[in-house]
Amino acid sequence: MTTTERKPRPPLTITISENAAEHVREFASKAGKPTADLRVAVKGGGCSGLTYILDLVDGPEEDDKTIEQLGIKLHVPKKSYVFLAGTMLDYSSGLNGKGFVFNNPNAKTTCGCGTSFGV
Amino acid sequence: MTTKTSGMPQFYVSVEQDYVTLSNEAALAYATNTGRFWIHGKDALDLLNRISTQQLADVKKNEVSFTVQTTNKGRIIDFLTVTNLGDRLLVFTALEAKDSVMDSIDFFSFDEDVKLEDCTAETELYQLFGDEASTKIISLLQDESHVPDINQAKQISVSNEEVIIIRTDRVKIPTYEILAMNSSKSIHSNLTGLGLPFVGTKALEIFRIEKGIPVFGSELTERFNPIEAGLSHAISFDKGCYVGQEVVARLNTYDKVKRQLIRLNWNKPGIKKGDDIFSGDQKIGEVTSCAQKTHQNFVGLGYLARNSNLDEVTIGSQRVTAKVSKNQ
Repeated sequence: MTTTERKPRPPLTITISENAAEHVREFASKAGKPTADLRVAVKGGGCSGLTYILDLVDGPEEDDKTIEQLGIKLHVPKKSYVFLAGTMLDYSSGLNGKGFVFNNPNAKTTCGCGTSFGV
Repeated sequence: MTTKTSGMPQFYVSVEQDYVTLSNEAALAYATNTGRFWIHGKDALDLLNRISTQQLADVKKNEVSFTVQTTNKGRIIDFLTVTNLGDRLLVFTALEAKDSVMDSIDFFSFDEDVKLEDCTAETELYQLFGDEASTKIISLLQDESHVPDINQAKQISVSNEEVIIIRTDRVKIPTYEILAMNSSKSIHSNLTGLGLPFVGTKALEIFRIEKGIPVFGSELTERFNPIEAGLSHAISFDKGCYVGQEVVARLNTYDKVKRQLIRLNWNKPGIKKGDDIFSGDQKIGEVTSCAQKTHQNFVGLGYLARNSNLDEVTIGSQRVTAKVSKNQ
């Protein structure tokens, strides 16, 4: 009998890479809000149905789930969290870089420009 | 006669008489197949703009616009008529599609100030069709300034009862849709007081098919895209992203649309929805709607391979010959 190795399930949280965290701090500083938190959310729209939103905010809104990583507080609205659980927020820099990149295991389809996804 | 819009008869006098009335004069119908709902909230138009084909962001108060809700693969969920009433949107959809359309809008609503409210059961919707419809609506409203222009709506009071009147001409003749609150007792008697006949479902179906108007469940399903269904007038090709936009834009830009909606006419019974359309032995399409107009005159709609440029095809296992006309 053969056994297949199970793929490890992605953690049901949202993680942020060192690179992304550095850029969040940089943007926050440029915006004159060095202590700002990051709101990570989803809204309807985009070619594939759902689009990511990033915002610098002062704190959580009611019902937001808060995750602290690498010194950055991520606030995620409840309904958005369902579609973002397991996501790793990264940053792609350089001439051909895309900026913030969402590596989202829930996304079954993504549009050509990568800013929207479907589940 | 009941004022309820359920159980609309197939015909009143006869199908032929209903059809003549509809074609030549003006007639009333209960819009039994139209589902309707309100969308409240300041983000309503923005949300609908993000998830459907039309540029809705600029629709002003009392303007009416048409849009198609598509899947992320660019396939049709349903065709929507959207009226901006200022404090809310009024949306018409097929009755059968209403729940899935509302569920879909709700799915895409996150932090927005948006609230959906089904008003199908609480309202009655009448349609006034025909070349004489404008004259008749002036008689009803007793004031020409209350009559909306094409793709406009008016919120007025008839006998102290709130009524929304919308003119769309979507069926290619003057058409007023009159939405009355269920508590309205007088609108029905006001309408019948105009001396207008009601027409039944059969004549309306013949008329729809002859005018080439696609409907949910027949021409409008997830098997088809809005361009092949002839709904380009409800698509903005330069508005940017919406659900399904990438696919719809590619079909249009690279001219990849493979089928087109056409009208059919034949003179033998036995053809039904779903029958294949042939050119010689080759299947080139399918029938999506059909109706008997007279004893030996049948009309239908179907999808045919694009650019087939045929004036005549055969249909079904009996290979009934049918004439093809392009849907304008």
